[in-house]
Amino acid sequence: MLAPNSDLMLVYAAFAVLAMFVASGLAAALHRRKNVAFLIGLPLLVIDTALFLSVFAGGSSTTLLGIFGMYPFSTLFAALFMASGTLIYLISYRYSNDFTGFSALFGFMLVGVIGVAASTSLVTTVVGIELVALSTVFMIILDGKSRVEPAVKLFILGAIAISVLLFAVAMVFSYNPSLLLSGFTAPGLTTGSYILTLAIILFVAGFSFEASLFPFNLWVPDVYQGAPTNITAMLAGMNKKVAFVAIMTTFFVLLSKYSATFSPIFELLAILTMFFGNIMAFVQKDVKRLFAYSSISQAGYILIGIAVADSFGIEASIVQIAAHMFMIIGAFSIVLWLESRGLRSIDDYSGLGYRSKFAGISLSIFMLSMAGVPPLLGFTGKLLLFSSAVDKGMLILAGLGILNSFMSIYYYGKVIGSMYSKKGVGSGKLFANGYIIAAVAVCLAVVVLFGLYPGPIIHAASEASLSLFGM
Amino acid sequence: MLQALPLLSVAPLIAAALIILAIHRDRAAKYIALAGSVLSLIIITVVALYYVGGTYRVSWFSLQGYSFNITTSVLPLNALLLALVGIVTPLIFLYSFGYMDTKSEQSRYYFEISLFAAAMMLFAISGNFITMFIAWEMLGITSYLLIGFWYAKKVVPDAARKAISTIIIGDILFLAAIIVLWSAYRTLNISALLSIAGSTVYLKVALAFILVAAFTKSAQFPFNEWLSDAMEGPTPVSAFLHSSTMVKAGVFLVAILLPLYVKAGMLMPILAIGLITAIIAVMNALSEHHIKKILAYSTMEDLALMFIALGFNAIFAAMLLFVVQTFYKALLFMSAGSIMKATGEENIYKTYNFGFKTNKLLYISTIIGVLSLAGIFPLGGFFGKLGIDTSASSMYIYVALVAIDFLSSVYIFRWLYLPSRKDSYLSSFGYRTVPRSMLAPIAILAVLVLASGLAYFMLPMYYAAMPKFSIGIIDPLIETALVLAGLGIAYILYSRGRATHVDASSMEYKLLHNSFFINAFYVYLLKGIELLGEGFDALNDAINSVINGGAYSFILLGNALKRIENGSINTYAIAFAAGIVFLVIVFAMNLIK
Repeated sequence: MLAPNSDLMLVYAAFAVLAMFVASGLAAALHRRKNVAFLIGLPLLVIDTALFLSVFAGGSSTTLLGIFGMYPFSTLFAALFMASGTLIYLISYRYSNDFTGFSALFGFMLVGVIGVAASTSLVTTVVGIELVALSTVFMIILDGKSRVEPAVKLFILGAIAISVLLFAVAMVFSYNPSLLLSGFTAPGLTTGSYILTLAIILFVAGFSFEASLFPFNLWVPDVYQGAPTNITAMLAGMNKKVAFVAIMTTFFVLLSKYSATFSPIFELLAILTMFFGNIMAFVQKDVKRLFAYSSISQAGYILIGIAVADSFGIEASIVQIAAHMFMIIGAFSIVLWLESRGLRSIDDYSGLGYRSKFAGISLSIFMLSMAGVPPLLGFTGKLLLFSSAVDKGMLILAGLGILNSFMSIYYYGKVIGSMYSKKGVGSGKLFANGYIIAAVAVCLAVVVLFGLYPGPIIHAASEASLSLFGM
Repeated sequence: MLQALPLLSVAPLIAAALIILAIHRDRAAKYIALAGSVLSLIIITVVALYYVGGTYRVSWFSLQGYSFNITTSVLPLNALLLALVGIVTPLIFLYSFGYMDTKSEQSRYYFEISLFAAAMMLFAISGNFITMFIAWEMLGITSYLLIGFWYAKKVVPDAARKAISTIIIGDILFLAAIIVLWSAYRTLNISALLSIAGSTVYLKVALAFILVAAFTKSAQFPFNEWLSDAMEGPTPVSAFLHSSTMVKAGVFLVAILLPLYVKAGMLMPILAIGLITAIIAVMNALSEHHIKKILAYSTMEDLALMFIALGFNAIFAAMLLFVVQTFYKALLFMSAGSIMKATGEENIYKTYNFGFKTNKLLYISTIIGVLSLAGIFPLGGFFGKLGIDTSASSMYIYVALVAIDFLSSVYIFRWLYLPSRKDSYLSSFGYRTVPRSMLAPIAILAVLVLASGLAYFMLPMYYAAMPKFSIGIIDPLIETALVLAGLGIAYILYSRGRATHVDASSMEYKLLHNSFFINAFYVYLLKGIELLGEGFDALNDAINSVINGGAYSFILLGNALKRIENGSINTYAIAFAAGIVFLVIVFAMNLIK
């Protein structure tokens, strides 16, 4: 498929802008010019978001270098990741200890992210994931010596995960030496191809680590809590979502024939992950840790669509990924700002709604959206997920999902209740700075407006999902 | 485009938005709220007069080829509820002017209550389950905020939490019912469902879920506990909650789906739960001391009576009580609020000097409300209760209903007599200073209560599908005799001061008052769930410490490693390995199959 020229130009432009961002980050890191990096980097990211969005809107498909595929699925995710990357860049400027170093690493990370989204080959996927993981480790360490522990945890466990993934790739290699995702032919599993079965298992395990699925996710709360909060926002808003994109491309393009085999596994993991996240969140006292567990449970919801394993399920997962991306980045932006004011635990948050109406209202909206209260975007995502499960006849999965989403209201309600209790009112008012306000405003706008009118986002997700299955 | 007019009746939503924009101006909030409610009353009047039968839909989003809409429909039942909400809302807001005189919290209060009113209006006009569910959720959340309005008081957050926990059960089931209906019939339009749904197992499951959801909203057994605790909210909120909004939502939901319940043969559970709740409510009302909680139990009883009527498929009787109860219950709650404001006392045994001499308007209005609740001819309550009684299908139920009527007459006259006792040592000055903004809605409601008997004649004209019941002679006589007997007994027991407190430690108090220990059951259930969460935490700790022990030798490796190898990383790696083993086992089992 050859795209019309203008679309191809847009694709090239998008990659060129990304390269410019990487270069500007590196240059800034060499010269230690924080302001310059920000002033050049932020517009580049905004432009790149717009470029990828317009490529997506063009709706064409093309392949670059044989290993990058630009088709609606990949361009939609590229645009989403660029948008969330912009937000993270925005909040990091003020709060990162070494912003120039962060910029340089962030450029590499974005290359990895786009690589995974646009991957048409297992090599691209694995290299992209590794690029993302390594950059993240160094971003955490950059913040200071106290961050060594979470960084090393992430590094060691990430190394295990990547080796497991590579092992799986090696097994696929024996059937498919080109390692391209599409056009993979292998014997059916029932005919005794245990090697492929093992490959599927290792893929599930490796990706489950990246996507923080139970029981491969015990490290998540420690790292989320230990990392600087802007990196935590990135971990929850981008890294995890990248893993889901990798799961989608690997399982629904490469291994699409075996969906009857892996679908029950994902169903089981979805149920376990939802329950683990929600039950652990019940007993948390620290807000950052609470959001860590809450995003684990959200990963469980997203997995519902993957377990459903048809185009409707993937469509639902895409909507939920987009929704959670903006909800969690918005929420962590506020947590980041409040942390710098010394507010960490749920008790510290008491009376917050009176000390800062901005924080109270926006954090409440994000949490209500995560709990799935209409008419917010989180509700749309969950509605789609549960209806896709019902449509496929997976009533138990849908039922447990609904149960979980109501369970979550309890702990979100606890935070909201604390924010609007009178205890902390005595301490003075809090005022956010422009970076936080801008990032939160964008997230709020997405969550509320697309919640009220979800038509465009559902349409986009359905186009992306159909194109994934058409690969 | 004029068809969109019903959607505009949610004008308080606009008011709520304006209030939150003007959040720093507490003084403007109440006028904005009142203006919004008056505007919606005007629109609702037009809608109820000229738009009955119309539907309107706005496309919301489409999914897998099906489009989901925000649909409004103005069936006669919708118009009825909409009109009730429209009339009561401005009165409640006006009453709040006087009642909510704390300076600082005005905008929050009017924001929340405007949103609440808008949610109820949206509920009243919703023509499909999506719209209805949105309104239903909005009702739940805003009622949680309103009940917990005075969160600084000690028991208030607990009461609000209890309300939301109960209501969430209903939310889950309502959503489950919607999903079942969708997967069975591929439509969520209510009037379409009424015509196409056959008596299948899907329908029965969905209706059962919806029934339980309605019971949670309308505080029916065993979900009745939150309603009396919800009295911790401000009095205008109670008056609103108990007259036309929130608790009526459940009754309305069942009423509008009644043809389906008849088709599915599921009237029996409605009747049974209604009877049980009515008995519990009357017993509690007889033993309660809190001036508002007596009325709360009375609401519970009225709602139960409506469910009983629905259980007899007597839609007219149910809707008649639905209408008349709105006015007298709003009136009585406003009276209770005025008495509380005048005396600063919530316990009726400690309230004195409420009488004709202390505040004429308030006293006469209150008596009108009390007589209507008790069921004196020709007030609305008389027709309402008569309708329920005459629809009884068996003699036993008739006797039970008549007994309930008698007992409710006793408790409501007790409610009136106890505060009316004289105590010349206590000042009665408070009654004279009840602000006009509180008295005006009370007087208007008293007039409405006086006129509400007309509903018996007007409803059938308005809604031809409701066959009127005939009054007869024997039934009214029995009812009147029992009401008068209740009045007499209450007079002897309470007005002349012979009855003192029911002792809180006595057996009969415990039995009457604890609703057969439903509350205690819930407390233990919740404890259990919390324990489960803590158990998981402890398990996590236990695993950690075991692994920590194993990893202790690594700590000697050096300072740099010491920070990292605190053991937990091993846990995670082991969990990773265990996860792979687990996956292998699951796959192997799948393959063997």
